[in-house]
Amino acid sequence: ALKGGSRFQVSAALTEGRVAPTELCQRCLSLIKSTKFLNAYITVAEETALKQAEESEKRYRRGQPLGVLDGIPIAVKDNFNTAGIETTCASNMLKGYISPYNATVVQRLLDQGAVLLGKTNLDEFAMGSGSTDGVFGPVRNPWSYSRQYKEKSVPKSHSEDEESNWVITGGSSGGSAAAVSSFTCFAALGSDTGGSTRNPAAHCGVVGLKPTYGLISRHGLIPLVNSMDVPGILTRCVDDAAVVLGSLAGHDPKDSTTIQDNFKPFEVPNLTDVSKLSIGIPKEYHAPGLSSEILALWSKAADLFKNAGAKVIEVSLPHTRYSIVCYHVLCTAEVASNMARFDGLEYGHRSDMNKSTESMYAATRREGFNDVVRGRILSGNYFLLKQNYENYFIKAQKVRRLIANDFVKVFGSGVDILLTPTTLSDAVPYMEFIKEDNRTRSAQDDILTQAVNMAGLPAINVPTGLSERGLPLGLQFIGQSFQEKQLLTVAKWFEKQVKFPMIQLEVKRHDHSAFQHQKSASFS
Amino acid sequence: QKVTVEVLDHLEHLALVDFRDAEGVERLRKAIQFADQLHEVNTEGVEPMDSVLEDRCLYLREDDVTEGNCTKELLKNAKEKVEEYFVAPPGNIPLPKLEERETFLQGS
Repeated sequence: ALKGGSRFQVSAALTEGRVAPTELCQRCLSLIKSTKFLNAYITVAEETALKQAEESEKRYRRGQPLGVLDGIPIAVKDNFNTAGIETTCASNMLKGYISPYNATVVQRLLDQGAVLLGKTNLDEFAMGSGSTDGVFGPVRNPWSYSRQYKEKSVPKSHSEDEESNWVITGGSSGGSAAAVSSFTCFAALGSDTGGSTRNPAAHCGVVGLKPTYGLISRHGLIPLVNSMDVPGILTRCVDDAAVVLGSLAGHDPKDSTTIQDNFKPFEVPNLTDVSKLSIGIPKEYHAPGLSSEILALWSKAADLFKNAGAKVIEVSLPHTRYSIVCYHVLCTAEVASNMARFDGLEYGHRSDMNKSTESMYAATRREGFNDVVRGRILSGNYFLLKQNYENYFIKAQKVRRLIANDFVKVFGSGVDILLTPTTLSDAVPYMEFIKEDNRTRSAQDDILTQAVNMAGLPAINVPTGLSERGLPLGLQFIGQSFQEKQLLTVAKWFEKQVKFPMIQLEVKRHDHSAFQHQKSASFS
Repeated sequence: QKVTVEVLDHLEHLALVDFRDAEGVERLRKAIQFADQLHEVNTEGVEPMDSVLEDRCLYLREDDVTEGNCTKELLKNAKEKVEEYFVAPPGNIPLPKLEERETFLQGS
């Protein structure tokens, strides 16, 4: 829980000279080394980060920081292009690919003086809900190594525990969520197509914001589903998310799907009176498989609003249960198209097969893509076949409209914000997660987050409490299109009420001294 | 049985991605089964939705050259190149037929 205005606590420390940007950068880099076992980072850009930190320091000395983000260490999911830095999408297809340009969102952060520490791990090409299916291996949830989790786990055999007991981060932006959760950076970029920012945010106990589709540029974000992808923001508190949002949002001429309306960055107001608020509780989000813990938490949250004077009503989004099926068809169809660019000719992996263009492409793609990616490409092509186009693709597009209309109706009836769970349960152990295949898992885990992407609405995960196993549980607020200010205002009010505990991470310091207690989220 | 070997072969040609094994084929079958649930929904009179931004106009920009001249950067990531060309193996040679190429589908 962090107090203060809409700025990073550490920002104040930087401005007041209590800590230098290079020192901050070094500490984060050191912590990254100490937490290497989390596998949150694919690439650590140590040299460039230190250079950026030095430049920032010069600016602070002159009394001319670029803004609140100047000198702040951040991490970026490895499906965003970063000039001069490898961008892999956790796939063999792009191993060794050095981006020739910065994604717009990356450029905007750098223009504000942020220090780019590195690229974070994900499911291959952002396909998955566990951050377990990338070629660099799975990401481990930092809470697996927290005192809170260890206290609650039944000890089997001494050290064998930690190795087999660790839980997943959720996905696909698991690396980014883990990086923020373990204090190695202050904010991280993720992406959200079906819940990929909110899901790992919930499992890792951090704030995960999915902005309205069209608010933030996708230029440079390697696309999965063009009509649903958005860059996501992961931070440790709502205020920080607003700061990052302020630096990223707004029209980009390089992305024609960004709206041209003027975006005004804002500080999240401190709401004290919720009596004018109308909170909707969609009954269909009481989905099969929802854990009783989360159900109870959700109920408690609704009561919290009610007792504070807000109007809390049950609403219905009748087509919710078709969202996953609809997504399945639309996603695979767009993937089939988006993945066609990977043919080995201009970038990325290229097979040695040289007999013909087609056989080279086929071999390259066989060698470069994992089963999940290949499976979605083939399914997508199936749904797009002439004989299937009307019955599957067009049908799914019609169902999409029904899903989007459900939200329009509810918001049109006077509801301001919707309150739902983000995930069905707390994070499961990796050994259990991998027992089911990727598609099954995604279908299960995306159920509470996916419909939001269908409708293009903004939504945010707010860490709410700990489960019986000592792991984070989050709740989701869904807002109206381009009403991020209202959404974040409510989220911040809620965050203040629940006072989510800080992770008590037990990490051996990089200099190999004894186990240390990482107490503070701020370095002040 | 709508997923015949012909369809699978056709998909491998279109996607230039192979099924690899029985699991791959089964994956497709399950995907289709899953997608069939869509047909439970009544979409009478409903227009397909392409984009959530459909109510806005796609805008035009001025036809001015604002960037480019980055040939060197772009060629850096290519494995095979000659001067300013990307080098591809000979084209217009279709993928070998089912019987002749190395695919799991052979003999299905």
